[in-house]
Amino acid sequence: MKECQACKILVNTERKTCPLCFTILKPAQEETKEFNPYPKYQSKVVKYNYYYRGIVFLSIIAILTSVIVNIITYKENKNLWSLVVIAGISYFWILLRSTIHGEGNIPRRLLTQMLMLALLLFIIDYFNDFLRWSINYVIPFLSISLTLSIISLLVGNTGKFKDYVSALFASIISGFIPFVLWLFKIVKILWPSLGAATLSLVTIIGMFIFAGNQIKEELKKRFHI
Amino acid sequence: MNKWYKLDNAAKVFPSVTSKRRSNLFRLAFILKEEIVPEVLEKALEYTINRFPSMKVKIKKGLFWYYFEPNNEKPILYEEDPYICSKFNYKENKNYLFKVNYYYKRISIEVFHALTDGAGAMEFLKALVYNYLIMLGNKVDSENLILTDEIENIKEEHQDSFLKNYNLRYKHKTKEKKALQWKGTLYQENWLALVTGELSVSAIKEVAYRYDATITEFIGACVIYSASKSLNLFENKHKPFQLFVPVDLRRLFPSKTLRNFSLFVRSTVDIEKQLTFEEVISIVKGNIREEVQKDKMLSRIVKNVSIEKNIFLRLVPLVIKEILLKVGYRIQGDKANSSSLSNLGKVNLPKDMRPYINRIEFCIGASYRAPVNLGIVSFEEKLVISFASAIVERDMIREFFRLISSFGIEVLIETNELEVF
Repeated sequence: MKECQACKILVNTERKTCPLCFTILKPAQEETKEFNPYPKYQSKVVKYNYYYRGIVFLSIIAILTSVIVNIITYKENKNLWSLVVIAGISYFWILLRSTIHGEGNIPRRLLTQMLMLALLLFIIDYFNDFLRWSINYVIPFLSISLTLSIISLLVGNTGKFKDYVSALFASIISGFIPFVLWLFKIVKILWPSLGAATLSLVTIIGMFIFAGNQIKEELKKRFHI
Repeated sequence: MNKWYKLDNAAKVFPSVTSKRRSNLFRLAFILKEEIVPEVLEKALEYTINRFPSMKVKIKKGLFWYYFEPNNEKPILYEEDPYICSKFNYKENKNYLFKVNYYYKRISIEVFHALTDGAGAMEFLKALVYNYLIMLGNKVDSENLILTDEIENIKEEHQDSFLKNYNLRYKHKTKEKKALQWKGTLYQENWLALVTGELSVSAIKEVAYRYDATITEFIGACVIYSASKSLNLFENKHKPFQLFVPVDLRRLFPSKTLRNFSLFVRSTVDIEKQLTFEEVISIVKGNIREEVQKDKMLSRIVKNVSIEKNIFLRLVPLVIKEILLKVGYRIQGDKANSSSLSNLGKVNLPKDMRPYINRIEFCIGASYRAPVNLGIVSFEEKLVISFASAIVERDMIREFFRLISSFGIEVLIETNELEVF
């Protein structure tokens, strides 16, 4: 224990000066100093991850280069192929940040992954003569596999239902989209879309039969005003 | 509790206005007489949390409002971090909105204000320390002062008592005045400096009674008087210094809730006039006594709850609500306060428990807008005043403790190494 004669106070510290006025402290009569009252300061500055920053830098260079080349050569080759490069690199970042290092639960991450993959493949398809393979086959099958994987996760751990329900709902909706597009004659081949829509319908019915009350509770919670 | 519940009226604003620079955390600590055994404390924490369902929650986003949901994870026990009341990542904390730390002989808890207020968190910490002492093999009789498993968890403990006391008869309009703002040098990395002063309860009581004031009024007057002696810390504008003093409403309206149930009163003094201490204390006494009345408090409750009940606001999606609250809080909430002074009062512990406890501390975090705040709590003969400061300058704190010691009260200071920045 020390004493500051300017402030007329006692100070429990290892330091030499008063924490309030910085005059030199005098030792006080009773020597009862026990421990440092607080843990020592440590800087919290985050160190750069240069490997990671290197990939960011390379991604930006790749996008810039392809956009510039695309613009210069646009007269000879009327194709916006640089968008495919941008979509590819963006997909890579989603894969890294969301699917692998993401914070959400697995179904939510799978959902983001599936949506981004669908978008990427659609862009590739669209800028390569638009043969519609992406919307005819790939997207319905992506949706089917997403719904099936969430269901199998749920079967393994039914307690997680309320955490997974929003991703499951989104996945069900995604299953109907190709079929709706078929109704508007945008999708040309019926069977994959019909398959996805049927699975979605079956899943909805199953959800209400096996977990109707939980869904009601979940809706009340999320939409309370 | 297996069900979800809504955030209470006072809590609703906090999740939206919390950032690294304004953590909305407060901290309570028990300093024991023996070194802490982390393994036992960890077990005590795991056990105690089950008695407090209102703390055993995680926060979730709905479409219109946030809500709490039961959290089934095991809470983590930390070795104390040098950064006091700094915002933590809930996900890394198993989604809990509080953090229990130990350091040498101290058990401390940092709580996000959306969860509960000081009085509610104190109940939890008391029970935690009680269970810790029992698990160490001590014989402690709880004397009905601790919420143990034997006392059944009643619904009133998670009641939103604001809503319960909502009564439209007491509708009044109050206007917020702008307060004097600080202009200090902020610490880097959101460091908070902590200066605690320990003094004797009977000594300060005696001096306060000399001025016919309560301890809160006396310390409030000391704070404002020392602010008037450190005008260089404030912006040069003709605004009054407004001291924000939270009031525990459980004292006015019977309630056993462990969630937020406190409001505040303000004391407004024009510190540029360089009033004498006697003048300051009579203004502070006047302000506080006029405001701390059932009717006035009720009208405040009604005002706050009616905002929450507004159907147009309720129908706004949370994403937009958050933006509105952030902007609104910037314009309104912050500008009415210069500093906060929160007095938790005397902590009453069972007789068997007292010999194990050295002292209790309470501090409220500071933000970049209200950079110097203080918390007060007393246990037996020791009253601890904790200043949390987000700014490097400590003129006001120095003036404050010099003033206290000029009344003949002996002060013992501890700090968390202020010179760093």
